Amino acid sequence: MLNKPPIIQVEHLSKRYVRTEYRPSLRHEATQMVKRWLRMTTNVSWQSAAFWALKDVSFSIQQGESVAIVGRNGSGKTTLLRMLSNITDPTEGTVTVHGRFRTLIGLSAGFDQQRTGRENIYFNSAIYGFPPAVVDTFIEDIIEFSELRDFLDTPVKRYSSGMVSRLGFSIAIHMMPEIIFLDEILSVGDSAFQEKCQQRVVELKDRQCTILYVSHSEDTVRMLCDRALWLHQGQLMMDGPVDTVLDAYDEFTHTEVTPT
Amino acid sequence: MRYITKAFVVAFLAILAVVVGAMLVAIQVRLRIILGKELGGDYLAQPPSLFIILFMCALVSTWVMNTTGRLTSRISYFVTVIIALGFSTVMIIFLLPDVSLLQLIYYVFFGVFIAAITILLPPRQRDPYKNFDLFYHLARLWENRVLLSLWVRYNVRTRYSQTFLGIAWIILLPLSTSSIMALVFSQIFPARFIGDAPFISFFLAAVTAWNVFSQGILNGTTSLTREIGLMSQIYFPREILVVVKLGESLVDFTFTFAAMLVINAIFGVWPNINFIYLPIVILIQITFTLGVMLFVSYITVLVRDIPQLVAVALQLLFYLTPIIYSVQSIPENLSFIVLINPIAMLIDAYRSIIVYNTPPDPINLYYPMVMAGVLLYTGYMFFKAYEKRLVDYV
Repeated sequence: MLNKPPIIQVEHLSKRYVRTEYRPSLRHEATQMVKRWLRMTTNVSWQSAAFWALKDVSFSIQQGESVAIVGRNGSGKTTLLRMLSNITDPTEGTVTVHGRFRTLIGLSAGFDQQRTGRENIYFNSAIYGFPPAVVDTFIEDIIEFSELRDFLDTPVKRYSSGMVSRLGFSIAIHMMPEIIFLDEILSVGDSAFQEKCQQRVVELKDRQCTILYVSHSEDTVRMLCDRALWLHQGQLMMDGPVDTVLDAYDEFTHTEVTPT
Repeated sequence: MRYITKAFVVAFLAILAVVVGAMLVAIQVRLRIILGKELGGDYLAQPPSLFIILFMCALVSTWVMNTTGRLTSRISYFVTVIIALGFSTVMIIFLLPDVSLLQLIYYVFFGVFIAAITILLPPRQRDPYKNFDLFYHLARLWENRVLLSLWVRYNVRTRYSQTFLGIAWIILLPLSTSSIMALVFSQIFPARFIGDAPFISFFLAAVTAWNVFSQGILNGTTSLTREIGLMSQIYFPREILVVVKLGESLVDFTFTFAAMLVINAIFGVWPNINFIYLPIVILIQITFTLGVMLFVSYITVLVRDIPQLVAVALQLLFYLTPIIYSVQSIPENLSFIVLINPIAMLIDAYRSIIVYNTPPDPINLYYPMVMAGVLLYTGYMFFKAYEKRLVDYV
């Protein structure tokens, strides 16, 4: 197993964001630029306002592993996922993903409120690379799984949030390639639906898909993943078996909560 | 023969495009702007041997640079173009003494200008394989054609989703506005004839074409800012958002065009054989509009004022384009302003095909064509180089 090259390789990954409130206006920025050019000021205000969403993160994932990413809010989990999905570029470092992947940051990506459920199925699949002709072969399964057959031809703006998530998940679960990045998606819907979802995701794991799962929910993480990465304020604190990392993370959050 | 690699062919075609484009613009400038006409009107503008010389010089220049292994950096491409320009100028002076010197001066000037804009100016792409490869990006677009057509279809459908008349509005709206205009210009205001065509046909042909451009650009400005959420969740080539807006305005164009044909028929202006040239003119216009949209949509994400500025600029441009007046009625000293405007002659080409039943004069289309190509290329390079940063600007 260790002889095969890792399917995902992240090396010294860093991402810097410039906080835009420190650029009050175009006029201010323009005058600052001119002043800097005339050497009248060395105030590069935007540099001091920068913050590192991720700093020097490195890890590698083999094919078939299911890895969880845990951390407080704002620790850089979604940023990491964005960089793995080619949505944004790193400031430093490299990201390599070998193979087709699918990212699910939220379940209703690409849903347009004005369109009907059926149109959104076709659109969502198309934007992930599955043309309508292909979708037609398993659209019945999608409709069946989402339990939304009666509501398919009404605009999505009339759906409840649970219905939207159900639709999104059913579309997603039927088109899973070998690498999947999930961002907090198993915690939606009622418990019956959640069970169906978990069952499907476990099936994926059995099929040797590589899964990267970002979540706050300990139970699903422990059930689904073998390994965990703990991110805190952009840095990788720990990388190891899921139980060890989760225990350390628990201890950390509980000791931090005590007010001083 | 082992030197004939794909890289060489691509480099040669790029250099050739710049060189030929410069010459075409030079021809149009010299023949259409007063300045040139004063310096002797009998000079040959474009003998076929001219283009053969350009071809040979571009080939030799690229060959030399390639075989000496110097065709590496962007500056070297620029130098190759300069060599080709100089070499061809010298050859033309000696071999074709009838070609006007002024045209050659324009040629060198435009050649350097176009080369600087397309070779030196575009930002470096992160992935070196995609450097300057417009065809790679167009191929990606073609691959996504199912998504594009689906998106356009859905957008147009949802526009009329909760209306009583539904999708019928897409033909009813242009038909009714054109009919009202026809009524006004034929009954209320006296029917003026320009050439041998009624004013309404004269106006409709131009304004339909203009709307592709202006509606496309106006919708394109907000195309990226509206879908920031989508962009931060899924990976897809971001220019699809822009092309979708262009697709929508093309759909509108189709139906407005049909309505225009109906109104024209009422006034006795029928479709004719010259409609064969329409696809070419439409293609040039699409290229031009897309090029502008790529720039404008990106900059809007940074500076949210741009849609307003663009609206004002388009208003101004509307009056600088011969839509409500004819090209012939422009006073001599102002003709320069209209000829600088790349879409001026393009709109006029639409009019000459649809209303006056004459094929468009190719010389008038050189500048728009070259301008469209340059804009699309630089727009694409700019867009693709910085497209990943869009999500960071929220």
